[in-house]
Amino acid sequence: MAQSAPCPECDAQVALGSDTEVGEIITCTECGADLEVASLAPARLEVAPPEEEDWGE
Amino acid sequence: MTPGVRVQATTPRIGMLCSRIRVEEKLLLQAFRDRGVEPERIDDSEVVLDLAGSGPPAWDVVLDRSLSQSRALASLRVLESRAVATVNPARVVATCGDKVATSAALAARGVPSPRTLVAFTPEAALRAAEVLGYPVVIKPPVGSWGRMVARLNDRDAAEAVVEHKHQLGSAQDSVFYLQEHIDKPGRDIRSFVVGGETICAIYRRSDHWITNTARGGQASNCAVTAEIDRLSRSAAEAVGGGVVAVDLLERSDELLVCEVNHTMEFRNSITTTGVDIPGRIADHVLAVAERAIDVRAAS
Repeated sequence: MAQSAPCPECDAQVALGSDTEVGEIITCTECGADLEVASLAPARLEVAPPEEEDWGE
Repeated sequence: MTPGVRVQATTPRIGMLCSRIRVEEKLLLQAFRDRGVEPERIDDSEVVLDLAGSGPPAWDVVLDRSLSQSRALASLRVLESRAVATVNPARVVATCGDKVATSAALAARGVPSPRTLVAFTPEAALRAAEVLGYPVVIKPPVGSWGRMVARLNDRDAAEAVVEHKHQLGSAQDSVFYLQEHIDKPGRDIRSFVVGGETICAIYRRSDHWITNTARGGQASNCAVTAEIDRLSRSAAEAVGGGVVAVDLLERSDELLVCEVNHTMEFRNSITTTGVDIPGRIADHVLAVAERAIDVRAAS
């Protein structure tokens, strides 16, 4: 079910698609912050952890 | 294999080691679900791995999608010690995650790649740069997405970068990896190898000499020629096989293998190539799981 949660950076309501996964990284459409979906029931967003030095592909 | 519910005696237990759930991880989760398997997600920021654990392994196979080279490598080593099959195995991650190791593995197999020199002091690094000639490329041995990769056009630039790395960095930053600059035609080639098969390739075009899509390079389909296929499979085999992306550079009429990536991104390459990359990866992981189940049943 589609839902939304407030952006912890700018407080805008960020819509979450019905296929959203916990742990998914999304971008706030208002402020552009990278956010991590912390939970879905209830929906809660956290600022995504910063990229670390050894991250990559 | 046509996606659909798999009918078999034992449902494979798939673990997926993740740092973040990006587009790639969502597509992989969906690909497994399309095949009737729900992977268990292993968050690398929360997991505690017990080296002295007992009993049967919790998973038949773990697919590494961790963003962190160090977390992935440590996790895979522990999992393999517990008889868990891995994609990719720790030896592949160790080789691909360190450019010195990658270049050494490619050289050992005779896979053509840009000439590369390694030095450990600023003075030796500058000598290496002079040997290769300017412009020359310097890369951190561990790193991705084109970060900290620099093209040094002359001796002044080389002295500045080498001195800054030496003074500001860690001991690891004093492993100087210098590579001849390839004057590529505004693009490079990335091929995708899954289980020993080159499944597709893309061109990455950019006005900047760094063509990583993470740095704005634009993807378009690249037909897999016999030469791309041969080199891609050779490079994959050199690092230990599995699921890898091979970066190739074009120089006049030859191809050179530049890098091999062990947890590749592919979101921009599915529509571009028309190949179901996450589906092919899921099929490979399930095949590895089936082999692991068979081996355990026979033992």
